[in-house]
Amino acid sequence: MTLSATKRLEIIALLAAMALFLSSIEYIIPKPLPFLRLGIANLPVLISLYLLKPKEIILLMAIKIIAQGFIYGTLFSYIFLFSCAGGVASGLVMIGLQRLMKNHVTLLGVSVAGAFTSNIVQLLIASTVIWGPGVFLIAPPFLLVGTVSACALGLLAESFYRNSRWVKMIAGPKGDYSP
Amino acid sequence: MKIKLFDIVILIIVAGATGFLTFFVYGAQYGEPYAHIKSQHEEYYYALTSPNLISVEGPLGRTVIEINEGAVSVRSSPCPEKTCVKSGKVSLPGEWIACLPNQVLITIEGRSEEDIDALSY
Repeated sequence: MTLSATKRLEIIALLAAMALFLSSIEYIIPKPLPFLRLGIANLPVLISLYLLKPKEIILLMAIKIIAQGFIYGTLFSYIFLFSCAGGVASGLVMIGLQRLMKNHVTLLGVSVAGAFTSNIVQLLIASTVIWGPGVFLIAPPFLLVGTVSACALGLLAESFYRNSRWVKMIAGPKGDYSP
Repeated sequence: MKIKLFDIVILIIVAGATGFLTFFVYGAQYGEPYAHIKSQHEEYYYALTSPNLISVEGPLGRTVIEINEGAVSVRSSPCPEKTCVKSGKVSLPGEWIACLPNQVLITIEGRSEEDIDALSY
């Protein structure tokens, strides 16, 4: 079964709104240490992997990244370059993984791979553009926290997709839906 | 919910890469620790033994760094969130303070004596 264009637009808008809301929540949670982000705004993006086409997922990610730029006030600073590069790289990896390994991977693996890609890309940019290789001293806690929170988010997104009545309403009860 | 094969494969790859990087990064730290301060256009090495007040220039303005009692901290910064100031003191090899908005990175490193000829007091 497939969905009408209007229905797809509705899903994108709803997931984008959810990403915006979660970005604001993330923003008001105090960070005990720099770079320790939960990434909860990625929850709707993970869910979208099951519901939308690659083009639409990229649109959703673009909306999320620009909205976060507004909320965090980084839209017109060079920090926005980091979010964009991390977002694009992890988006492509997550879409690729999910489409190629369809029946052999859940959102847990997809989420962990996405977070890792995003973090490595951002470290590489920080290393080449600003600080040089010394920046890799930051890598261990950064990657560790990223992996742990990505596991939690992946499990949450997967169980949301499996159990949500909203998803059943869109995709049908038997899982006969594919984007 | 069932975890699938590639979930495990991905987790092993990511954990392995993180572990390797951790070993590689922290394994290279030995000897007397010193502070490596890098800003947009400047790069300095300071011993932690003598107190110092260092001011570096970034795109937003001046970041003031303090060395006192063997530890480094950021005293003031023009960045909006002041994450670097809140980071507090660092003193052990592998520890760091980063200010992305003002492009200042402070890392505590330790290396053999030949490498630190450029050390300034």
